[in-house]
Amino acid sequence: MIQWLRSGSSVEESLFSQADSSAVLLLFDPQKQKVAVETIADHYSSAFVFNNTDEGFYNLFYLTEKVHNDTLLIACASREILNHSCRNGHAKELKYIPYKTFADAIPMQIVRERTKADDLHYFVTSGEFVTFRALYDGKPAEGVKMTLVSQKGWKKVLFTDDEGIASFEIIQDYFTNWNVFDVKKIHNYLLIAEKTFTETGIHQQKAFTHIKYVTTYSEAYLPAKTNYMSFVWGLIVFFITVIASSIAVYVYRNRRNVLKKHNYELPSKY
Amino acid sequence: MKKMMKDNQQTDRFQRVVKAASIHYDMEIGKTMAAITDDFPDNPAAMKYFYEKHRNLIRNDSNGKLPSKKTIATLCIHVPVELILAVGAIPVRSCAGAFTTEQLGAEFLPAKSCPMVKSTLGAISYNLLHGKVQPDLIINPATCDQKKKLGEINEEISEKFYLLEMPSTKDSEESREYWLQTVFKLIRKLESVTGNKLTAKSLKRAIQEVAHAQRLYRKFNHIRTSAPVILGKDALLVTNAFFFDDLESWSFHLNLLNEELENRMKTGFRVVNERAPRILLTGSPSVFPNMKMPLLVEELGGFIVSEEFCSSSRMLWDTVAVDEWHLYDMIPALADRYLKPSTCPNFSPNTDRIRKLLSAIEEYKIDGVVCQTFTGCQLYDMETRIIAKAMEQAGIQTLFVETDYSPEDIGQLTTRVEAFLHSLKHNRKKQLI
Amino acid sequence: MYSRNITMNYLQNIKHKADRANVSRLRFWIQLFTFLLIVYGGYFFIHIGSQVPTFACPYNQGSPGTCYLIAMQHGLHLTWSELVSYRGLAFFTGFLTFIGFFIVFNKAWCGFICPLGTLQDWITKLRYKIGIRFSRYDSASFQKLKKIKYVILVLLIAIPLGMSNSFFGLAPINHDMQSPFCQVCPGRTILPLASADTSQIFIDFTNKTTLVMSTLGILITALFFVGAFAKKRFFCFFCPMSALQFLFSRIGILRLTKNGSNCTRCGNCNRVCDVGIIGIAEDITSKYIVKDDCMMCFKCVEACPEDNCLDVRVFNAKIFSSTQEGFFKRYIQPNELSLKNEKNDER
Repeated sequence: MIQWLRSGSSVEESLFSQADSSAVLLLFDPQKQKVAVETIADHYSSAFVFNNTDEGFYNLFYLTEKVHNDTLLIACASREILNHSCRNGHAKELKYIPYKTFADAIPMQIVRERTKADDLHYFVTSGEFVTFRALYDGKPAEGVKMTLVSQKGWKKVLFTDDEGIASFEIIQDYFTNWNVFDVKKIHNYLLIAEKTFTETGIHQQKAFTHIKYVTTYSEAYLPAKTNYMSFVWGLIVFFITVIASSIAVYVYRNRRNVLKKHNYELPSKY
Repeated sequence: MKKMMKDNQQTDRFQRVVKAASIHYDMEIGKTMAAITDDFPDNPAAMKYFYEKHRNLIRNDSNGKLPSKKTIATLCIHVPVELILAVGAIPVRSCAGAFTTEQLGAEFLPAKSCPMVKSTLGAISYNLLHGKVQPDLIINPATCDQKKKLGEINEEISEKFYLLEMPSTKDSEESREYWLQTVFKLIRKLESVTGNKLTAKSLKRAIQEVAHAQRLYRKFNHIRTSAPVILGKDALLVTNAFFFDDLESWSFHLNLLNEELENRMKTGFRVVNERAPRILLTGSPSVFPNMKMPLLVEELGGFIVSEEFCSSSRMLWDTVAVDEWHLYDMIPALADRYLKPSTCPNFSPNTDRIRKLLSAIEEYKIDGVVCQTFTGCQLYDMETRIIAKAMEQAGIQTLFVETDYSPEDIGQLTTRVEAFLHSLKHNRKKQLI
Repeated sequence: MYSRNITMNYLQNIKHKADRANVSRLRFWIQLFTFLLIVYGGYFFIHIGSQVPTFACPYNQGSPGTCYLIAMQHGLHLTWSELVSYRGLAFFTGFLTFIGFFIVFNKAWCGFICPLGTLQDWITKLRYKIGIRFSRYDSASFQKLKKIKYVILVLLIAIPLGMSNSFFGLAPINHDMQSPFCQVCPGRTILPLASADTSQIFIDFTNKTTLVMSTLGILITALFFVGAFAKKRFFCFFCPMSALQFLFSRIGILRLTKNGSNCTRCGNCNRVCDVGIIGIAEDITSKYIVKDDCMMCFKCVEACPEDNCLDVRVFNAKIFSSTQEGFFKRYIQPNELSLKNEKNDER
């Protein structure tokens, strides 16, 4: 069973989700300190609520371990939650924020490689090439099967190379009608990383011969800017306004020209 | 046949009148000039040019005007001289000051009319303007009632008159727009009379030349009011020459006069003694040869520091400020200059005149004001009340005089002026003590 | 005593020279310098803070600072309770800094430093070269239109507050309004162009709010150019920065004063005024003559032909006055005249 995490600003948004009671929830604040989490769960929803006071990225991990058909399944759902508001004021130049590794907390971690533009205002946009790295025990893992799933269910599968890297192009799967001005919806993609090791052991009175690590990483992304910001339309409106207003001013000035009343033509430079 | 004879008789009469009047006019001028030059010592050498110009006022071709250029007579201070210069014509301000022509004009006008209007009409009707010019056009601003009707009175000359429409106030935006339209119409008229088109270049040149003349006048004014180096009667002649003299020549000679007066300042030369009361003349304008009041005041020991006349400071003081040197800005700038700062009583309200007087009194350290009104001038007469109140509040002694061009009231005026000057000297002594 | 006289004479001599200076030409060079500073200064690591009393647009990469209006709008994204907390103090301090910067040059920020103003002046020079006439507002339109900048100022204060709080029980305003003035300000679209950055010219189709606001922004940019061509300093009439500045103009260090008793009401000052202020000519009673549209370019002082009628002061000391000689010296171009004697021009 694949699990992934969503983030939002209210408990009502967590409907139709189900938590596993045996799961372990780990939340780290931007300084890599553990933070307490309150769980609110009922039949139809499960929400994890915490106080976010520090500015930066919070890392949330949701771990489950189960044995199924001789395979120990260690599933980790991870998400980075950004806490930032321009209202609090910040320096004009924002600092580049690197990703954090938690080798001791979780076995296999997926991180998104940062670009130079990564600061508190950065958002992944569709059409971009995003690079993911799989880390096992803090070191790059080779041969991990990475599946990128878009919100509508489009999938792409890649395997990581010896540096643990796989690059995906985030596709846009959301298109609106021309007369609907609601292009800039925030969607989530889901990255599923799977790797199986041969190892035997016993977990909770069940024996296993393989260990399968499944880590999911979900993040929000926006449609590409060119979808909703149109330079051409800007130019069109600009030039139409310039021409229309110039004509209007010219006609207005001509009609109000005092001299016309006297049928008087002043020489050139009037 | 009869009509021809009648016409001949008319023409004959006309010629006789002109001839007789010329002689009388010349005599009047001679008498005034003699008083100006001979009754006072220490006339500046540079004034000789102005004396000669005035002495030859009614003699033909005394001003060397080029016959190819049109002559345009103007009245009042509201006709933009720069426009006339820019279309290549010669402006001649034709407000007349001669008693001779006043008697001629009395033929056409009611007895109670303003003497200057009578004199002007007489001069125009009998070709006795400055230099005996016969103007191609007479621009008559519709300022006071009497000036306004001037064009209708004598049918023989009425086609030459062009009425320049003037607003009655200068404060509202509508009046400025009205005046601007009037100026445009004037331009069209000038162009049709002279046959030349107004161009930005010629207008810019004209504005600059007049500005240069104004600069020299302001310097002259500064010299006059800082040190007693020239008498008011001479200063009035300088500004009076501006009516009819060539601009370049006038500027040149004024510049020479300024230099001479500055030399006088350096040596501490005085034309009056220290006790002479400093007088500001205002009211109906003294136009040569009607120099009755200025001569009287100065002969009796006063010193005319400045005057607020439309024959002197009002004509020359205010400047044209142009932002962009194209016709679309030059013409409205010109129009504004000839309307907005004007302190002619024709405009209501005329608080600017009171402020100007008070400012002049303070700056030039005036002891007393002499305000002359011509008999029959309703506007100035009404303003004397307002001025009287303002002067009283400011604590300035004022002498109000009602006079005209005839020499009959000199005796009475002498007594009054003498008493006034005496009381000014007395007050000054009191203040010094 | 003796040396004091010498100093006074020396200062007076300087003042006399200053009175005849061609301030308009000086202003051209100052405007050029400050334009380059405000548009490219950031590339030279110049930082002048985020309370700049003129349009130093942060959307322009090379900007050395940030215009106070954007800081003000950002700072007003506060709930009422936050407004009286330490966050409100931050806003208050920023506001005081703005006032501090402003009162040094008073409204001359508009006339000498503002890059949008400089652009408009250059457009005006182009129009003058071509020979097309300019337009003026008649006084009725002038009085009506000048209120618009106060409306814009009130909106740019009310809308950010309305985004965090609810006025009269209505729902808070859509967050897409962001900094509402910045979305319509021509500075945002035009100033980045100096760095060849056209990214601010767009119509944003995200939702209806952004669509309307970005279209308004482009419209206003287009009108900025057309308006500046037809009328001198067109945009300055509607500028909320000008409205905000005027509230504190009375305490400025650089001052423009008038001595009404020396005024002949000739109207020269109004005639050359780019913005078209009538009050400068007609008001003969007030001493502090800076009106809300004034940008303290001092063209009026240059055009005044009376001594000591209009004065530019630093605190109460005059540094530039209107003088008769100054007027004529600036005004008369000797090569236009054909006069024989030009000696007087040297004085």
